[in-house]
Amino acid sequence: MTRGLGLEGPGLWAVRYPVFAALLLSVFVGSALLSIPKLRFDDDINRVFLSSSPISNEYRDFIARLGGRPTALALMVESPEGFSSSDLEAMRTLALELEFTDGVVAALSPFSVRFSPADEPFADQPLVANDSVEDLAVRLEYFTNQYPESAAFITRELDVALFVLSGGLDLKNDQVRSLMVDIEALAADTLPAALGVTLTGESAISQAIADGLKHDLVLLNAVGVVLVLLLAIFFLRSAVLAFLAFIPAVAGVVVTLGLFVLLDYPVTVISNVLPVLVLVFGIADSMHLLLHMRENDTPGPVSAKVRSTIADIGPACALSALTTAIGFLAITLSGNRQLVEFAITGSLSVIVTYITTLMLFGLLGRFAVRRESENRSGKPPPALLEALAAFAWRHDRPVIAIGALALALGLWGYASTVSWFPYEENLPSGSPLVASNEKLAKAFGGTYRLWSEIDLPEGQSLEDPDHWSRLTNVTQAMIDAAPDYATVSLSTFARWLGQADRVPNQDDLENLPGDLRTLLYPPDGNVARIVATVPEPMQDPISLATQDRLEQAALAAGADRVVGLPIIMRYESIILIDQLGRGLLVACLLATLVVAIAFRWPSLLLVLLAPNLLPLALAAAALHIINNGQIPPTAVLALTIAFGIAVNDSIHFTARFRLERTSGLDARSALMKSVAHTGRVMVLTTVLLCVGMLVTQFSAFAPVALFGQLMIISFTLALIADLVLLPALLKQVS
Amino acid sequence: MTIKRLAIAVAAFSFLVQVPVAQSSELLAALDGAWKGQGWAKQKTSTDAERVLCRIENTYFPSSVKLVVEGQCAVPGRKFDLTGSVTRSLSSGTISGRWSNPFGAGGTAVNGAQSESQITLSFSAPHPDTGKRAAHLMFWDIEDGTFSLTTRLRDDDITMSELQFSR
Repeated sequence: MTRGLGLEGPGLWAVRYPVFAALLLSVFVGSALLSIPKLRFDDDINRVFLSSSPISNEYRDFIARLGGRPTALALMVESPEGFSSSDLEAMRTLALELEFTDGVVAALSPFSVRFSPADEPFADQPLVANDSVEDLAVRLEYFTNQYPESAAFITRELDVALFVLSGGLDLKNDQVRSLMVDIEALAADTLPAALGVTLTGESAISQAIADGLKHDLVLLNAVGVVLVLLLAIFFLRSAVLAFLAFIPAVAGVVVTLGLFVLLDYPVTVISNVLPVLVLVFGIADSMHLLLHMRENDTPGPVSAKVRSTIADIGPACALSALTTAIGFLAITLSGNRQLVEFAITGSLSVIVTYITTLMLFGLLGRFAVRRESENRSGKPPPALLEALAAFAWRHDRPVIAIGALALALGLWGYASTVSWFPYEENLPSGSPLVASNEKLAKAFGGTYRLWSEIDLPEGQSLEDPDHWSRLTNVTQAMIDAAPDYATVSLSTFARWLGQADRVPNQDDLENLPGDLRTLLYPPDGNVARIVATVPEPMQDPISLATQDRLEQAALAAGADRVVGLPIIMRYESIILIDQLGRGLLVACLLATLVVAIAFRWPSLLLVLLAPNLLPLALAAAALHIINNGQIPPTAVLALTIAFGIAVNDSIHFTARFRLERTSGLDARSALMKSVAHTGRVMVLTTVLLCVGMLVTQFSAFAPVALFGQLMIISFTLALIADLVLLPALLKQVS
Repeated sequence: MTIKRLAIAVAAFSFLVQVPVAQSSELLAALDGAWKGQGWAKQKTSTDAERVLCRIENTYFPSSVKLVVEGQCAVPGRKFDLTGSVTRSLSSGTISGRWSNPFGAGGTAVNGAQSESQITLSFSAPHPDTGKRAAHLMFWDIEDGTFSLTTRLRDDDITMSELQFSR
């Protein structure tokens, strides 16, 4: 008999004190329901990547030195046919109006670009002097040749223009949203309707993700609830039984959403999937309980059957919840704030859902018995399952050998995946920002800012020739490493002034936009900075290689550090994947150890590990087919949670096997009886989990869809492993 | 001349004297409040005019017949302060003050006079082409609800900026 560590107690308590249990559940679930309107949605781009790593801490220090996180927006204006004179005139009006828009600290555009005061023939003239397209083409050609490291903010084809906007530091989300609304309204009022306008940039991307999350949460849960209910009706062949299975699962979803509010955690792209996970987890447990109840021939009143079912199945369900919770908790090893919140919420929600499910079964299970005579059998033929088990028993060693080979191949496939996590995959699919960011990267090299910093000791300044020389060297090294990216520093500004060897004075600096002036050389004079605008590093291998080259060149030339969101995007994703991988390993070992201890059966550790690691390894290898061989953090998350859930079937099967063995049956007979009793339920719950996870394919977020695909692959392979490999292994240890 | 006629004459004279004072007060008073302006300005006499947008907030002090101008003008990527104050002398009717012109004059003393609907101010500032001190003129033309501000090089007779303001 397994030990559920006492967690089946709430179910038994509910049978004994139904009124109190009903009241307690009503208050508990009701409170959670009422708190749902207070749900928050994550719109902080940085939380996706930041962890406790040195790189993340360096970034936090950098933001602190800046005085807060700048608001970065980019307005892209495009015309497939090329801009006309009237388009230029309208865009100039927009550029002027932006100078007086509340919340806009600085606005750079083609209209703010000027030739050097030392230039001939365009001394200190603006790039766009009038609204003549022909004139602009000539001046732009000259500018691009004379100032290759400078941004013109307009393409040579004169079909895409960029307005780079800086807002205040550390603006609250509603302030950013309000600013975006104002800018979009201004653009709509000022520009011809024929021009394409997209507001993007770090701050806009965050808002787009938050908006998509809200939509996704409603859609996923709505579709999930309907799908799971239909499935339950189909499998249980009874609307009443289906509702009895459904109610605890929905209660689990409500409680999960309430947990977000209670813990004050925002819903994120990945935690968006938690309610659906809890739904399928809850209904799987309910089905185990209800289907066991149908076969329960315990004499006496109905309550005795209910108590007996809880006592028989509850411990296995408890262990399932525990292993799933362990799977979630292992994710806390990542140190990433967003994932830690996901882990805590996930682990609490599966435990709470288990308790809620058990208590509700204690209250409602009696109604299942009354309706039992109306149910028709919907059982899949057990003959196939018995045939598989019999095959595994007869050919246990070849089966184990093939399993080991498959595991080795799977691990090799996993090892050959490439850690890859493009941030913009977090944008909802169909978001206009995806296409516009690609265009911006192609036309202007990107909109993310990569900063190189040169520390200036106390009492020293850029006037010191050594420091000025170092700034110049780092600047030139960055330009040489990435000539297609715009690079700005006081050195490039001095060159623009026509005085490359002289530090610009205060009067000269008045020509720079206010925020850029203080960012490049803060008033305290402790640091000088060089900024390069870059695309997302994991947009493609070339972008990644270019950023690496840029970073190494800056450091080699004398920069003290290279920081910025692009650095976070570049390294933290890989650190995160590595940490999650370790978490997965811990989850596997810890979960199986807990079960082995609960069963008081040490060799169970290996017996459970093999059939549950194998599906994960093969699922990871499948990334070569479904995700170009790239492994993002969500994939490792999926594998970790899939392990915690998939091991449930192994637990139920092994628990049954142990029960039959202790009742006196020989190993083979115990195995066949276990298959007969639990095999069908394992198939049903696996199908339920897989179909439930299909909901994720409706998600607007690619990481969520991939998460669901990996879960489905893992569950399916885990079922096969449980029906074939597990029996073979049990024979060995029996 | 009888006392009555003297009184009438004094009253008329007072009226005559007072009318210009009341008119100049009204002119400056008419400029009180927030204005949005647009127009153009040149950096040098030979360069193209650049479009400019301005926002100013004027404050009129009737007790001292003083108008304080505070605001900003912008070309894309650059913003400049536009500040100044002018006072109407009650005795002479002349207008004087200080002005910072973002289009090259820097801070400078201004002096001038006003006609029915125009205030003309002159000041000395570096010539935009040569850098040497040169005479500049500034015209404020005031009508109902609008006013325009024009700056010109006096000796070259070249207009360097024109801004139209409205409420």
